Amino acid sequence: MSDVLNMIQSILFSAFRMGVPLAFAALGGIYSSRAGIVAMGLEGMMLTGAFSATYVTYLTNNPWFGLLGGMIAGMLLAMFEGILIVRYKLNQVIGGVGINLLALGGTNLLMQMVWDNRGKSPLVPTIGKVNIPGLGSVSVLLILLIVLAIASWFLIYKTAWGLRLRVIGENPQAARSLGIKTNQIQYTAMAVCGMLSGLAGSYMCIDQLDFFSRNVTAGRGYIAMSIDILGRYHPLGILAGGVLFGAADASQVALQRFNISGQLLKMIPYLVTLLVIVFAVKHVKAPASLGKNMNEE
Amino acid sequence: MGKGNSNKVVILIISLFISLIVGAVVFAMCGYSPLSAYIAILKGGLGSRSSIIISLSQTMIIAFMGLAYITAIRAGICNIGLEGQMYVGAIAAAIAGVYIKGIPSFIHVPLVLLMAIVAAGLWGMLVAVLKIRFGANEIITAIMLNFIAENFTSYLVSGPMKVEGTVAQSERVQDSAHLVNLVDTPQLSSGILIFFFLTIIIFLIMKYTRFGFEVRVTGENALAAETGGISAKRTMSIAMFTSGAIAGLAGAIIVIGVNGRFIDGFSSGFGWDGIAVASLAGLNVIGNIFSSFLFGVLRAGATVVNRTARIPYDFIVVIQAFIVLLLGCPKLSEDLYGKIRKIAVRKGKKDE
Repeated sequence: MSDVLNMIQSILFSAFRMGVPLAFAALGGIYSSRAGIVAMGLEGMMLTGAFSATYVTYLTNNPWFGLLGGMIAGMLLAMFEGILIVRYKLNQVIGGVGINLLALGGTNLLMQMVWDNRGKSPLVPTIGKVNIPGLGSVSVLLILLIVLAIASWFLIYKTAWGLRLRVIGENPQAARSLGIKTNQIQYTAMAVCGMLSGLAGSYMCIDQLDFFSRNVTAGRGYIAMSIDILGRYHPLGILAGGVLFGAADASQVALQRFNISGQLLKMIPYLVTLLVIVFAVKHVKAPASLGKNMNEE
Repeated sequence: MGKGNSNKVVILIISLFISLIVGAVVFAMCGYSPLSAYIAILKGGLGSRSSIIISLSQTMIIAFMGLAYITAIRAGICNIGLEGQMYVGAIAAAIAGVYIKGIPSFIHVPLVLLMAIVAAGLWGMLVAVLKIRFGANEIITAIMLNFIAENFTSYLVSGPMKVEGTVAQSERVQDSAHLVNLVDTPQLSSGILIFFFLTIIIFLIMKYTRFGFEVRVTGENALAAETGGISAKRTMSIAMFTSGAIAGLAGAIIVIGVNGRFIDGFSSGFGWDGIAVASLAGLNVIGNIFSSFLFGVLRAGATVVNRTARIPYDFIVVIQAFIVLLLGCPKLSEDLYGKIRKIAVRKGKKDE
């Protein structure tokens, strides 16, 4: 019995830890989705951010520079995707496939070039923890996440920029006829999305872990996409979603003591995501123009 | 029409050229001369009889995946679940191939293929059904089904179905389940005949049947199709079943043709190859054969240079990504082409 209680406690605790990168990326996904661009590239941006953060930390021995590097790399990749989609009308799903392939191939390639290792990077220093009474030591980035989620809520729902962003997601043609510079806002949204996803990837490699490994994100960008839907594209909704999916991720670690095959455990987060997306989110209304490219007048 | 086609060719050549330049940059970064690296890849892929066989074998699998992708995209669905469908088809083939015993080959082989078709087809159709029935986002369901298929088959061949030894793989399929070899190695089996047969069938269905017409209309505008009395939902479901079935067939051929068993994680991204070659072929089933050959040679050659010259195999994925992205935005290539021409013209004038 106490075994079970222990397990539940450890799952809850690590749910927060595992949920942080998912929530960061999902927060980024909100900006992209609200601007009418499917957030499929989250996976690639996370992976790129994870690699860059590790590499910069490896070079400078300072994880904060690494964090910055991860954010910038994520942003650059997101801007690249944004330009292809907004300016060159690339199909958004194809864009997502291409960006994620580029990130996967690119990071695997660079990893072998700089570290001469196909599997993982050398160990790097990590970002420090802070002590919070009642919760124990938590990552500084957990606090940053909560601050950024609240800031995003304010930005998206309480400012003129946020209103414009939401109008673009619903009806870009109308937005344009109102004189809103749709392209500019879409690029900005993609840049923010990339930075947040880069942060998400950085957290994984220079906070949660202390190294980069091949395809370290393993589909978490897609799970973040699901959190966006579950959290109704709302910054505070995705915090809750992050913890829920974090718990799914954490349960696979907690269940390891029961002698269950590793491959079956690995399936849990994917299975949970599938079930949630099928049964739990039937009536979520996505931004109306999501996935559609604007036609030229 | 003529102009449209020549434009398409220009875009194709530019995209391919840029992608190969990206590859060249990678080689240069690894400290190799790009030209000699490409020559080494070509030699590795086409230099000897055995390397040609490996190239053709890779071509066959990639071409299956390209065909599967084209079948779905024609109906308006981007099937990014090919990888998972391939695994499901392969494991179904392995189960039927290993555990059904004592039946003659001319029954066993078709039975194995049928199992793979049904299992992978249903796995593919699941994406469409979940979308239609529950409104579930098809990108997410397809990707999750990929991960589930990959991990579950991995569990099967490292647990219940595992052969004795250290490698995670199934037992060899029964002799009666083996595909007939065309040459002396199993690499190039009669699977390639199945592929050509399938290409012709798909081509004919798309071009001449009522169903092919319905698929095209659905792909262009699902709403208009519904208005015109075509059930877009039914068409999409059938297209996804077919697409999944073709990917599963490729998996089955790997199991009973190429490898003789299910090896854990055998696919090195064949599903994504399929998307790249289909894009390169302009979603044309005949063009698909040629673009697949290009990738087959690249893959086979890359394996060789990876061994001999320490060039990471993953450069292929980067080239692939650029092909997918660049061919998806023809306007970009047109712009680039325009710029290049302007510079060329200016230079030409200077030279005069």
